[in-house]
Amino acid sequence: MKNTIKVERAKIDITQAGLAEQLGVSRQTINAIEKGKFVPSTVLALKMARFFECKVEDIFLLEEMD
Amino acid sequence: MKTYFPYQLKYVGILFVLVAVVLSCIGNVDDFMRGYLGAREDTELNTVLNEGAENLDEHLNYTPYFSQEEKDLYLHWSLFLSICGFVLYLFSKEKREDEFYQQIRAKCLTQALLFTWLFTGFIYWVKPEYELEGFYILQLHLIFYTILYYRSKYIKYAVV
Repeated sequence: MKNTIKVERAKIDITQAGLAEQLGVSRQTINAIEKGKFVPSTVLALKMARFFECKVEDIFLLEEMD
Repeated sequence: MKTYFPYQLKYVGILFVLVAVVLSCIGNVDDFMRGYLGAREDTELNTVLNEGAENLDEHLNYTPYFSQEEKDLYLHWSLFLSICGFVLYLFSKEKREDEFYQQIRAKCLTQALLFTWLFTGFIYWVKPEYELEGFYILQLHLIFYTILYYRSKYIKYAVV
């Protein structure tokens, strides 16, 4: 699964640490999600979508192999 | 895997493990000295040991610091504290606990179990006379778990 978190972060100029703080998770978690090493739960995905003011599927995209 | 111990208990766990290491060193000081003196005098330790530990001490002209009961007491406390310490350290929350750490914890616990089975099986196969006891296998599992968790947290998923 791909994601556009890095792009979304850049749009509103927020760091990984800042996003982690806003979502109540660790910076490692944001980093792992961005790199595609960790797939977040639905709750966290929804929190991200709400924070970036977009839909979940705008941030997380299924790939062919998924 | 969700955990409920507060973050501060990690430090208590580390303290327990350190005390356990010290107790283990104290409890094994006589065995260390026997090995050291035996090696120095080029003694065939196993041959003498088969005749009893007392014979070995006489042979080496060594007076043990502790009786067998005292040694067992130190070693039992050491084992107890190390297991408690590892459990406290590994099952305490992180500073900012979240689902990512819960997943790492569960993954490492499973991997550690696999490594423990493989290692224990290997030891039984190569050196069946060692007869690892249950508590030592549990301790081994916790040690593997600590290594894997540390690797995941500080190396595999480290942030620069």
